[in-house]
Amino acid sequence: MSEKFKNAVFESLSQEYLDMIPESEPHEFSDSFLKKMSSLVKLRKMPCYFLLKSQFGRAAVIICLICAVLLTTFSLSAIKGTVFGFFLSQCEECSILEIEDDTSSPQTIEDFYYLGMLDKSDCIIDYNCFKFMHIVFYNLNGRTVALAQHVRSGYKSNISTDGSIIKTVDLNGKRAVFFNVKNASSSPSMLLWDNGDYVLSVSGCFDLNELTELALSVEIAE
Amino acid sequence: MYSKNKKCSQYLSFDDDSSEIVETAYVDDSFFEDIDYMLLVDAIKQLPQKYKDVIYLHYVCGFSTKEVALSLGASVSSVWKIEERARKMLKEILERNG
Repeated sequence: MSEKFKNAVFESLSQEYLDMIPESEPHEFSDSFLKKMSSLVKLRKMPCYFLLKSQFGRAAVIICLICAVLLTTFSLSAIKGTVFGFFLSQCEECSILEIEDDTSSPQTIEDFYYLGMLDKSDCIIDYNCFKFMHIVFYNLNGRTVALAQHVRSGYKSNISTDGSIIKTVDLNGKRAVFFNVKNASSSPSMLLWDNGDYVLSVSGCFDLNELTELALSVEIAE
Repeated sequence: MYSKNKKCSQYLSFDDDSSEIVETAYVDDSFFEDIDYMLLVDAIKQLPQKYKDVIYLHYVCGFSTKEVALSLGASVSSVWKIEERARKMLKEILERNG
């Protein structure tokens, strides 16, 4: 049959058959249904929805979450251990030397002490820090000796005692403390004592006898 | 002739209408090509409803004769005869109006 006849049939009958179709009444959905549908639409808009829509994807997400939780837990425990370990090591490896406030001793450096057995030409640095501390560095046959002089009032020092040997020696009737970090003459050592006016210390890569000899030669500068 | 057409009408689910029994001489497609389009549209609107159903399903919806028969609950031969009668009636209407 020709297209003309088909078009004529369509034009003459289509509207008649369309009028036979009853108009559907507008339907109102319940609030709970609309809420569920909106949440479903939001879920489908999520970029990771393709992972959640299959059982394999859900299993993969759960495994990833478990791994992330475990890694976070291990990381936190590692950080926690590091931080606490640092503070514990600082407390364990240090000794605090402290002298309470004493108004009878000089509040500033008034007399300057030097090593009597060494010449002034051996002096490298002579430093007076705010009249509370006086440090003199010497060169003794290629090795450095430091003589430190502190005011007694409020003296406080943290000395590393990790693996060190601590000895108490007599220094012309005064009690002195000897520290050697590595228990060897080539490692830094310190001999520290209180002469009643100041806190003095002699340090360098020397053994106990050498430091004692140096400490005994400490005298006030003229 | 009468009994034959009456027998054929029994295959259809439509009501029997003996007044519509006409000779089923084939109407050539070229007849409708020479007819004015608007006259053809008006003539189709004047067809009985059962004729309209058959030609609409066949020519507009693209159903085959067998599919039209299944849709209307009739036999294939009945659908074929209804279509031929519809064409015959169209020709008569157009000749009467034209």
